[in-house]
Amino acid sequence: MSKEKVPFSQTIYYPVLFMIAVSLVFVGVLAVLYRSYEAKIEANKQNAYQLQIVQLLTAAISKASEIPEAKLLSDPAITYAQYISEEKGHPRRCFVAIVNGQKIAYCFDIGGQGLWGSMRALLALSPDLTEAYDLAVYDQMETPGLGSRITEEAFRSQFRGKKLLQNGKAIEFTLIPERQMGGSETQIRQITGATITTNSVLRMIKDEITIINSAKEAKP
Amino acid sequence: MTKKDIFITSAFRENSVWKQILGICSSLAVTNLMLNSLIMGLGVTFSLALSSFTLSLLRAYTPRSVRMMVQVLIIAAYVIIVDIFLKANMPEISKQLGPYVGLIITNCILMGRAEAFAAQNKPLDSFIDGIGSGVGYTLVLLAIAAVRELFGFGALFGFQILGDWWIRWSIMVMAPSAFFLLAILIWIINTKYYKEKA
Repeated sequence: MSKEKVPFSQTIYYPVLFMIAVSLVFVGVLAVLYRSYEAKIEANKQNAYQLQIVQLLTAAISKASEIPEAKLLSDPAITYAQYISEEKGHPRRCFVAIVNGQKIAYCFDIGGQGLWGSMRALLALSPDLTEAYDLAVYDQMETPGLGSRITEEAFRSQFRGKKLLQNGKAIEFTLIPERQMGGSETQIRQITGATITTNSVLRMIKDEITIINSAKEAKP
Repeated sequence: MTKKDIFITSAFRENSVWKQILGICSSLAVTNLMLNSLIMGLGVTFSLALSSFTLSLLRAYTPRSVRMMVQVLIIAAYVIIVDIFLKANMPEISKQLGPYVGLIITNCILMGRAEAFAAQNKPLDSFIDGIGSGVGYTLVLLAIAAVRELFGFGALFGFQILGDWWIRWSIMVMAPSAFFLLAILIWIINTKYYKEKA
């Protein structure tokens, strides 16, 4: 066998080294890019979350502090810093709105199962944790245009001022058709075409309110 | 072929979606809103053009045995750049597009153009080919999204066009409508422009 000199680009090492070199270059570029944007991405997430909490608690804060809602919402970051703080010792992540030293409303981060996947919501509650002030589903994978309408005002507004707990037991809500007017204290207008999603929201609220309240009773 | 020819061929004559039937999966997934479609189209165009350009630059040095790995790697890198950019600067849209931005990597158009064009042509030509294919893809997305958003939400680009009297067609919001709209689109274009060749 003749020992001719093979050019490096024909050897078995060349593809391996080439691949490693290309990978290093591109991974390096991505790493630098990600690092430079990381803080911004985190801040975006944090801001979106805080904004939700402020929106949920604004009505209560506005009532207690007599500052118009529009003013509170014009700068959510300041409103958050001034009135809202996180409270430890609850079974769910909990935020509390304090005006003039008085706890006027709670906001809990709750979760449950939807039709296609898990969902997470923020639930604003009265200080005695029995009445819903507001509800916002902020993370869900429901059917776009059908189940995902649980994030819309028409559905959310039904929960404002609803009693969720009676004599220490979670209230069972019943569903009525979407276009039916009226409805009693224990009825929820369901979303047409998304019965399972509607039920999932109700089940999530029922389960979570029970957990939140049972922890309250356990405390002295 | 002049630069203009390359563009017209890849955007219309050999359009990735209606002629080559590539990239169908994302054309079905993100077309319920026009804004989403536009951003998705721009993301694909950006990654397509730049990955074609880069692959074409490296084509003389890339060993044949690892060329597909290199293609996937480079495409993935550009797609991740798009993803990071959206997450940092357009968090709302990034959330709506969800996993689909990351899935541009698996979009057949990108690998298809890399293999069919960028592997044999000059960097600048490949870049134009990428832009062309991306524009062609975006046009299809927007055409389908226009119909779906108009009938499904009564709006275009989020602006309400049809009033409250309009009863929204739920089917247009859900996946099946994308299937038949895409089929109708391909049908019309094929009968109109490609019939004599077949």
